[in-house]
Amino acid sequence: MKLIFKHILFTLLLVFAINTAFAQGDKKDKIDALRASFISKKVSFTAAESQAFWPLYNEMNDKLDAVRKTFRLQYNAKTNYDFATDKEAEAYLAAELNVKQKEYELYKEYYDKFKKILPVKKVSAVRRAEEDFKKELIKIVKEN
Amino acid sequence: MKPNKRYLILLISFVLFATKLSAFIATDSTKKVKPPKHYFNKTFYLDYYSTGKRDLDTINQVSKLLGSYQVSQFSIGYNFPIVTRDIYNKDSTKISTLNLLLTGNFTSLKLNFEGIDKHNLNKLSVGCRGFYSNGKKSIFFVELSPFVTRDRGYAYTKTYRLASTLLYNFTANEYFSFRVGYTRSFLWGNRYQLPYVGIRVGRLDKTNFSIQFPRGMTLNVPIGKYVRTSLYTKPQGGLYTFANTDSLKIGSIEDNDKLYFGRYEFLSGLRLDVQPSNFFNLYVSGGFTTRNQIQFYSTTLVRNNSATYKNYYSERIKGSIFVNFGLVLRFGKTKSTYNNSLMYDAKDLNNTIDSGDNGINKGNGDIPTVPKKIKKINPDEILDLIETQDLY
Repeated sequence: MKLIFKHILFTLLLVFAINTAFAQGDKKDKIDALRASFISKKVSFTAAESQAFWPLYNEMNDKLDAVRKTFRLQYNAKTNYDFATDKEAEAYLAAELNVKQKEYELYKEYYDKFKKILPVKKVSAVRRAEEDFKKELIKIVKEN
Repeated sequence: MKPNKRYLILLISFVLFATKLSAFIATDSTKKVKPPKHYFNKTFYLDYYSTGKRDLDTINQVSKLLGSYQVSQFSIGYNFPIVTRDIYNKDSTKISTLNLLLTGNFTSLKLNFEGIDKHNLNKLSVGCRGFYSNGKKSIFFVELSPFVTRDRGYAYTKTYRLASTLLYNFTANEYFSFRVGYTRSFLWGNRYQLPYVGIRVGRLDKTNFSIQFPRGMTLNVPIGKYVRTSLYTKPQGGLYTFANTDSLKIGSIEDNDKLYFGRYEFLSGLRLDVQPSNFFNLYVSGGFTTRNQIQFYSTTLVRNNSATYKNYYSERIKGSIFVNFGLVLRFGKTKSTYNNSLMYDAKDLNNTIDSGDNGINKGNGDIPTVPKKIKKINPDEILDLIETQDLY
């Protein structure tokens, strides 16, 4: 019996260790789930529109995340932004612009796709809902 | 090495492998992050099931010898995505997906008949499953689960079998889907080729009711984000090989050195799934078994390879209480599937139909649920989403 409890305890500890390791990703998932829910409440999709829209929207966000994460691997809260050389400062600016450029290209590509499957008014409503969701997030940050 | 230690070592090595020792690898600042490849997580699960002891009918000679019956079952399994292909239409607005997963399962059934020696009937399967979603409303699902079953310690009892399922899933909308197909299953204690018919009403991430013949019937009710309850009834069983060391006289033949042993019971119970994160869930379940049946098939008399076996000993046993608990671990970053009802159904299929044909339901922990609200956000976490202008 003691052995069984030992194993159960060990498994639980292991599980909580894994959970802690993945906690960061979990917060992002929560934000993304809330955003998807927020948009679907604000924009009334038909069943066919919903089935066509969400896979594309999710794909766009996965690609945006990858672009942003690539940048954040290099420039994050631990980075010393008092760059020692002009070259380092230039590299930082170039990386920033590169992210913005890629974000722009992705938004353009996918908003064009959205326009093929949704009425343009609904596409603009999606964009508006995204902006409103950001305000909700800012509110939470302010409340903290 | 004790079997328990072996499982723990296996578990630890799997975790280290699955997380690629990420904790020990220094971050490479020049690394380019790619979007996730697969829709399905690498999933690893443990499941334990046990019933109470019951006396057998003492009129039958075999039953008299067996005395009483009790089973407990331990299962360990996985499914890993190996191929994911997104296929686009001409204007790149519709995504069809093809997913191929590698599956595996090891099950050990401890069979306790009071009158004879204890038997450990093992089952090992390595198989694969594929999903093709057409990006509209349809999913085609195929599962091949070849397995080998044997009585531990008796190598000559080794028997190879194949369980398989072929399904068509139609997702009318997020509230309704149905499934039709075919399944070759041993879950009912014999070799059956059955039609598969399923229907679900209600959203998969909310309250829903699902009937999946021949796999079971479930009413799922989430309680908040972290807990899901379900009332269910389902068959639990299998077909195993059994070393006839006690010379059970089955089919008037005494020298059967190997028998096929089939069992099934109907479980009716309540299950509680605790899902503190998307990466794992624990479940505990309990209830009553009804329509309990055991059968022995004589391997000497059974020759036909395509039909259902004729049993030469069968006994209906009294019901019992049962307990079932398990742990599901999910690894790896996956493609987002928020509000994608077709992919929710694909995930439900993956969780409902277990590798190894044991009737184990892993629970839909990988289907995203929406939190009511987020209590606390660190500004760094939303840095990429907010521009300075948003604050005006």
